[in-house]
Amino acid sequence: MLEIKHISFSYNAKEVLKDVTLSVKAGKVHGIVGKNGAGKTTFFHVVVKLLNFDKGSITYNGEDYLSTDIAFLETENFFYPYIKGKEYIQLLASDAHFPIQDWNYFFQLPLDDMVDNYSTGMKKKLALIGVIAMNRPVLIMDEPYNGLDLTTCELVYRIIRRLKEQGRLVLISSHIVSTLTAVCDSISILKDGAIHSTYKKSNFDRLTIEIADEFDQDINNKLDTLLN
Amino acid sequence: MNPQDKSSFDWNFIRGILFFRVLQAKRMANSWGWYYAIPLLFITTLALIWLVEVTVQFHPVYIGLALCLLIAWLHNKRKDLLFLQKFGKNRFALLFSEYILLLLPLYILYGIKDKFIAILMAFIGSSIIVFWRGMAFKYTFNIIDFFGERFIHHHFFEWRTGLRKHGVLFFISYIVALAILFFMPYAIIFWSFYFLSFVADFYNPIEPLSLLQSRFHATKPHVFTRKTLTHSTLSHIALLPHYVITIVIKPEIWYIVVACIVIIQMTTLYSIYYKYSVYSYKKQLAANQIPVALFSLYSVLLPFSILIVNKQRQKAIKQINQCLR
Repeated sequence: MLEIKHISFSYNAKEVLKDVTLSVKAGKVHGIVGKNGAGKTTFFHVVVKLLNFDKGSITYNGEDYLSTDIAFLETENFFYPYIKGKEYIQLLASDAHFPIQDWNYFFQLPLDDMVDNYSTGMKKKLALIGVIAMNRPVLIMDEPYNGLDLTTCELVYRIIRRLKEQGRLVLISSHIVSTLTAVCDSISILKDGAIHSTYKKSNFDRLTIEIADEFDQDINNKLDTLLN
Repeated sequence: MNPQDKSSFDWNFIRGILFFRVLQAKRMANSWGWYYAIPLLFITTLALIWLVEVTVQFHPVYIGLALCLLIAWLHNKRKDLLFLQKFGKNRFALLFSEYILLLLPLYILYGIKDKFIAILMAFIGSSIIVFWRGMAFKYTFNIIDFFGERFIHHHFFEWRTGLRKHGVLFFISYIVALAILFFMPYAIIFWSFYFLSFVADFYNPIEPLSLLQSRFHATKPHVFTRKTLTHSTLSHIALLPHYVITIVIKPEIWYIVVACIVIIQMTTLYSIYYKYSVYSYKKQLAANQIPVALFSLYSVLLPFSILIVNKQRQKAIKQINQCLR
């Protein structure tokens, strides 16, 4: 179980994360949804130890953990210059016999080409195979659906469900609620750096209504004024 | 001039190119000032005659090779293919109007000294550069990449990617250095430093955190030590033919070869340690050119350079552990 207790993080005297508390069990998928700038990426960076938090504690199975226990898929993936797709996966794979070609059957990437020549979607797919190849107990995916086509999104849903069945813990963020409701067991709304509310699978319809209501209140009136 | 007609040999077309180059020269002279440009022309001519006098003792094949490299450098530097596109891409005219005329004074001077093989080689080299440069580049790149993947393990990804970036230049320099060492064994010093400029660039890009985490482990520090040792060994393997030729041709300068081995060993280690000592997941480049170049100058002063390398190693280990905590 990943337990995040009362985490606070400040950057340049601005409190980006405020008393965030969350716990996710192994074999569960937890989604984080929030507007741009809500603190989703910062939250993930704190969990994977890229940033040091000011207060609180994070434990995995009741103990401190190494960042190498977590596979992290970033929003914008950076690859080593002049590296080929196949080499990238070979370097990431925990097992020397990782079936690269079998996985590529789903993604159809030109693995013998340099990654520099890949499109944004292709880079995202390669990063996804890389995250799978790492074979870590915890997966954190920051906006994994960005730049992916519908078929690949569906494929990612299925992969996440299978990883969940294997007992992996998955934390995932997205701007699009429907991509989260398709795979998550619970979803939290991150608002201004704090967990605003958390919904279980049985209450996902209420989550959709809450987001729609918020949209109505904040934006609809302004849109009416601007477009009429 | 008909830009659509790409094959015809057209004197007007050549005149167009020459006129353009004269205008370019005039513009350059204007920007420098004619008071400087005219004396510079005389000095350049004198320097050219001096250069021919100095190089005339070398074998014509080497002179020809040097001329080819000069043309290749000019071709790349001036982006001549792009320039040609403005004029309708007549490569034949470019060959005659540009490269032959450009090197005409050199050809005449070498002709007076009976170095006709050098002139012939330069002529053939210019033709290859103008007509088949793209194809030659592509095939050389593919061959280097093929051998790189076959003989260099993917764990040496800095070398594999570095050879992809600099492969053709590295390959040409490697062969030219081998050839030069046969009659100038002292050139091993210059080649070692030039080689190190490639090595520094191989270790300049910083890998993403996921790659770092997949290869190193906080609880296994020996993995990092193994990396530094295997990578510096690879540098020596790459330079082995050059060491051997130097020793065979001029055994009495063995101490220079030993000094070069020390410089390569210490600077390769320093390049690797430097990269990890400045490692940050936000960075994409280590910006190591100046520190590595400075270090390579005093790397031969062993007790001192060992201390510096050891200090850099401590920093690198600390930084890696920080990333793997």
